[in-house]
Amino acid sequence: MNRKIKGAISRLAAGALALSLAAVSSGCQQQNQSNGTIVVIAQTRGVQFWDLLKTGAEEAGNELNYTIEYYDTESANDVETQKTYLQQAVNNNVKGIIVAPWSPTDLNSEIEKAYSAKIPVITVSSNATYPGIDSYIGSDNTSAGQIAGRNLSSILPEGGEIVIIGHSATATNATGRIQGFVDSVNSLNSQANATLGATNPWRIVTREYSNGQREGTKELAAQMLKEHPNVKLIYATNENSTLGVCDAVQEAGRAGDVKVIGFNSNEAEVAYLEQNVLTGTMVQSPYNMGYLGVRYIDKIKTGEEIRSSYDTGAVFVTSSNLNDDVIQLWIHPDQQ
Amino acid sequence: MAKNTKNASTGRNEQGGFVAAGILLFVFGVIITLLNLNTSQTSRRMNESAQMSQQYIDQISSELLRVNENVLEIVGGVGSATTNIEEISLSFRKIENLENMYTQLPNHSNAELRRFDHAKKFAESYHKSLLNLQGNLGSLNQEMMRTLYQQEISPIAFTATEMFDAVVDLNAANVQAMARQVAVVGSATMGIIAALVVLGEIGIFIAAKIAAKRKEDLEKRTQQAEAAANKFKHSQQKMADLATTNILTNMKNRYALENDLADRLESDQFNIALFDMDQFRSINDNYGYDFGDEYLAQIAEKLRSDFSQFAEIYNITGNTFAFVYNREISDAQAEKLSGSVIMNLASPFNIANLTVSLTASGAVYHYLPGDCMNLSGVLVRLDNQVRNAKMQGGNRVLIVNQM
Repeated sequence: MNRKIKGAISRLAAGALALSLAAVSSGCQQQNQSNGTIVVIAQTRGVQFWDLLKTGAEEAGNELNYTIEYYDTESANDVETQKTYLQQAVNNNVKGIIVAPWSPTDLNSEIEKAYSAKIPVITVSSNATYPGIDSYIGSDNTSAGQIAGRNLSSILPEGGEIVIIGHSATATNATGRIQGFVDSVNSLNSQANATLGATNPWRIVTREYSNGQREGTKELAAQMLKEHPNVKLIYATNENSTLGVCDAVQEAGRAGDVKVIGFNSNEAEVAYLEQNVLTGTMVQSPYNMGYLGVRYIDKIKTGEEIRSSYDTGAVFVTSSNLNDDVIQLWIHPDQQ
Repeated sequence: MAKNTKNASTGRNEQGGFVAAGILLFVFGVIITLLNLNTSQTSRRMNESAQMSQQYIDQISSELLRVNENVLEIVGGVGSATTNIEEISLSFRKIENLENMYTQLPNHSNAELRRFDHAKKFAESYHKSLLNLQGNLGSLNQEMMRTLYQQEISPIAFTATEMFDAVVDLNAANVQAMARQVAVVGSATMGIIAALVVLGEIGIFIAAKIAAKRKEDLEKRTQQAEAAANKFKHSQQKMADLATTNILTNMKNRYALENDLADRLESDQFNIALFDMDQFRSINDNYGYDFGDEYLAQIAEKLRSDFSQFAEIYNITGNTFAFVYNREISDAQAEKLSGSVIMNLASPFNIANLTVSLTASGAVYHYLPGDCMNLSGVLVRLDNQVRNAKMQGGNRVLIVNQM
């Protein structure tokens, strides 16, 4: 009888254990389910700017539970590869597309297909003309050029010869940044002429265009230093061209004597800032472009209102404000 | 006599065991009560702090909005700049205060705090740029101020607002995650309570038996219980042997379906369909059960030969068939295949020199792991939709997900 009771107890105990286990495990797991995929189609591979944009998108993806698929192109102006990625995203019926078009018009037909398939499209950093784009998130290139130019009054208060080296003669980010810079030079000159009786203290002696590569820009800048021995400042319009100009100025031993204003803030540029070869650089917020791009897609999905265009701004960074908390946040948003 | 002595001594041992079990049960009860109290307190505190967080961030956002209105008035040259500047610094003092109160609240996730830090830095930077503007008010004309606002100030203001917005979302997500944790603890305590209840029942049952002098009665009951358990065990074994196939159609049956799907219901997505012959009863009524059985056997054979490459087929009950489509079959394909199953079932069959043909109805379910159901839940949904199909005249397939 004893054994029988023990047997009954162990059977019942096993039943109780099974019951409690069932109660614990019945909380079916739902928290890890993804809200879907958002595709990010960026531009050049191996450039810090795009790496940060990717990080921003991925962090927003983590926070809002989206899977981020990131694509870039190996070479500049590779519209065809971007088209393929767009088409593929439409075929996969993804939740949203974030794209930095290499051309303002060439991707329009693919973007239209996404629009017809009711997939939200947000452009970042560079825009396209298709009217169905939900939002553009990026810096305004003309504004950034103007901000850079306004700083001439403190960097080059006496005026002097200025050389402009653009990274492209056609890309809208190069032309906009040059136009903005020239606008500011003109307005500084007319102010100085009116109040001080001066005659155009800031003189743009030439506008040159490099191939956008560091090495090519360096050669071009070295040649400019020879041709214009009185040059006081060189203005460059992107990461590689800024580095090329700095290389040339340092090699010619003209650091400090010839000021340099450039764009972006990768490690090499920050090093040049600290050595006072690079006088000032316009820093944008690619991280916020990616981060807010994903958030905006989510907002579209949940029916919240979004801005049709969002200027993420740009700040002028010099060696004196480089270590400010907020400037560090602009430069290293991923580490803050 | 000897037997009695032995029983008395084991009885004393067992009584000691029950005392220990009683104490253990009491301790367990106390622990569970404390755990439950703690859980409900945690979830209350969590809700409170989440509400406060949302409230503080909302207030910060509306102060930022107020600042922006004042800045726009200064830039637009409307009203008195002095008043605007006073209001702006008042707003920023409020913002700083709210930020401190927010930071002191418990239960922020790391991601949330990090995003809050970004937002705070952008708000500070906004404040700084406004102080800069204020310092240069005398030397700037209206157009210059507009340009500065548009190019250098508003992007920072907007970004601060967007980042605070992200903080709110992260706070909500964090609260949800914690609520899930609380729910897990809740269900664990429920499980333990269930186990305790069962153990308690056993204790009471056995204590009652031991205290009672009706030893024979107890023995008899135990024997009965034992016999019942054995019988149950036996029939279960027998069921397990027979369980997996339907003898008539030689197809897998509902138990097999339950076994096959047990692991997939929580983690997998698949297409499952249910088919039922319309008015099959009339066959049994008119021609007898043997005829009906033969008809079913032929139907099963046809289904097997035509569809077993696309799906695992089960004969759930008499004339009900379930299809679990293979993984490579898409939702759309499953719906299409289900349509052809219906056509197949409706084709004429020759049984004992009689040609019979009945329509059938079906339902397809695109099951997702998030649906979190057990098999009978899945079957009930399918069954309901099959019934709807029959009510619409039969001979059709409906989709469960569109119910």
